[in-house]
Amino acid sequence: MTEPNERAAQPADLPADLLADLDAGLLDPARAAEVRAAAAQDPDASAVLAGLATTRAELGELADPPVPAEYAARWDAALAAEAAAPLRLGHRRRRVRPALVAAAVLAAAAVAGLLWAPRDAAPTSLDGVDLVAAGLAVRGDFDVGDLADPARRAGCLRAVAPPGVAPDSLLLGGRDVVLGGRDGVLLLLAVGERGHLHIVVVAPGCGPEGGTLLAARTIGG
Amino acid sequence: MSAPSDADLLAAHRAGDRHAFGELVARYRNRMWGIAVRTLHHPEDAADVVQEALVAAYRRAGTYRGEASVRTWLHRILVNACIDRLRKERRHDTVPFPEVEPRERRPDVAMDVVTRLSLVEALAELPAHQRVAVVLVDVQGWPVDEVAEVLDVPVGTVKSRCARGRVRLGALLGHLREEER
Repeated sequence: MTEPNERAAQPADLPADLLADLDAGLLDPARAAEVRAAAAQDPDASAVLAGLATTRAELGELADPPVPAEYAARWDAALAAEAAAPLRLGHRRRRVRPALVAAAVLAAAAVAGLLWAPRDAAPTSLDGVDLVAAGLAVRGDFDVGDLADPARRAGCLRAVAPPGVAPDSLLLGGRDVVLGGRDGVLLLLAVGERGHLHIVVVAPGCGPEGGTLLAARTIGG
Repeated sequence: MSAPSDADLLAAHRAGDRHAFGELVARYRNRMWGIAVRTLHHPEDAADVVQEALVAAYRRAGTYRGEASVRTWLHRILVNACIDRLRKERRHDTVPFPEVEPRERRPDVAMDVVTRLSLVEALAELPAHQRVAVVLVDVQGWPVDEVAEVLDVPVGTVKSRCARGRVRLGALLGHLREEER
């Protein structure tokens, strides 16, 4: 629809649309030279060209607003869930925006820049970092020492994990961490239900013979 | 050592590198957010669309053949998602996106607020295809030929959409006035 004032801005012989075509580089060189020369003689046409230039300039100054932290966390969680999905599901993956995402949003402030941060060999300190954020961040890493052995890991989980964490839960990732000043091993475990993950932190040495549970959280539960 | 190219990162992702896609996303998500929020004029919709685009790109990485740059490929996914959203919802009762740019550095604070709010609102008045073209060319500063590639239309079509959009914006913003006749 055309606004009345928009139409009113057009000089009779040099319509605004023609001037806008000139301004946008749409006219062939000969026609452009013709229109440009005519516009130079017409104050109204010159004003239209100036108005278009002002419009472009203002658009160019419109900076991108910063990404809100909760949205950044949501996107990271969706990608993390996407990466984990083939391990949990045997059928076509679909867009994930369930409780997993909601849980990750809670960690928004701590998450930004963490989920995809390059890894180093040193244990990650979790002090001051939300456990959910840390748990999602280890997805795909399997630096869990002896607990990489499924039998040992199952024995450990059977010994120390809270109810609801099956000993044979699928390991999605893990790494050495420091939690509350104590060394630990963080395990990100799939529950087998879309959008539900467990994060379990155990002390090193955990196995069938027993161990110490340092922390546990369920995402999407 | 120089940073890996976008194509390197996408190839690494396809090869199973668990961090490559995240690095690629980190390069572009701020800009993708900017495009989405300026195009859709609705933060929640924009966040949804960026998420859809990122997940779609993650899934479709295996189909990337290198005909376009990774940046173009990624933004084509985003822009198509934006246009789909506009077509589906035709949302006119949008909530204006609150401006959060640092205005304190600018001397004409009051006028700046007025101008920018009206500019954002004026953008939302443009038809979808004009809006997308103007956002990419004039707001984001992309070359017209790359925008044509993103939108899969001729260069002249992008210029035409920008030209029509600027006339309408100029009128809405008061830069093309009655007394200029």
